[in-house]
Amino acid sequence: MTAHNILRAILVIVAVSHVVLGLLACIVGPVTIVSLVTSLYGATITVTPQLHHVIRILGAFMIAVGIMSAFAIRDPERNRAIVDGIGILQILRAAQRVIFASQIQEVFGMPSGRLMMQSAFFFVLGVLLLLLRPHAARVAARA
Amino acid sequence: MNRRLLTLRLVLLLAGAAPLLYGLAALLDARLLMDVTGLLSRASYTMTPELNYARKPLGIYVAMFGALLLYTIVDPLRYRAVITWGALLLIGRGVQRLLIAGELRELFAIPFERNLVHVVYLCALGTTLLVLRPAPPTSRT
Repeated sequence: MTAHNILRAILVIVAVSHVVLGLLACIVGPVTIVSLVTSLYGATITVTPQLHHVIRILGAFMIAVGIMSAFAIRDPERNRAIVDGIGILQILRAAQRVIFASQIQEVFGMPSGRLMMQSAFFFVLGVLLLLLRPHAARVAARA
Repeated sequence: MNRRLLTLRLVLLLAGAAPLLYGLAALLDARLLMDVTGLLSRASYTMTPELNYARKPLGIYVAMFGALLLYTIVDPLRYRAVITWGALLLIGRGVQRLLIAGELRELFAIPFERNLVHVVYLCALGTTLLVLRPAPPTSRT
């Protein structure tokens, strides 16, 4: 499997996960959100009406990132900026989970092992995206 | 420089800078976020522990959206897809705010007139980007 295909496969994972989770965040009600958060993250959460609203906004942005990722699957060279952006986003999300680990555990009761495993997964995903992104010289040659 | 392209770049600057700054505020400081939201939307709410955490991932996504729109200023033709995506997201957010105007008033005490200003601003910005974006390339090199 070439680096190009691995990159595209990662972008498919990013696109599908963001669109699915984003749609769920936008569509489902508080009860379903609670059960999804428990099964996906092992966390407990109280969904107030205000938090529900914020989750829906987050969902809209997640769908947008998923769609962007889909653009990049079609043509990673042309959309190198998107690959960079999503790579940095994944690393920032992983860093944010590690930096605020104690807050996450306190507020959501999330097990630390699961939190660290997810952080590592997103970090690796982000690093791989940045490592496998199309070479700048190749992109410039195509421009 | 082409006047249309210059106008597009200025609109992209406006469309990208606001979410970048807002996302960074959300990410970095809860008090700052509440002050900015109060100033822009006249919203008032209680920062619960869950909301205080949720502002951080949301801030990252919003800031990234702004950063990418700013990045397209470098080469709007190459990043036409990002401009289209950004414009549709802006319009989508505008329509969303219109559809849930009642909820925003009830939950965050955002006055209807103030919300309408945001709706018009978001939709106008998105539509302007769609109108000004470069035509798609006819062939690939």
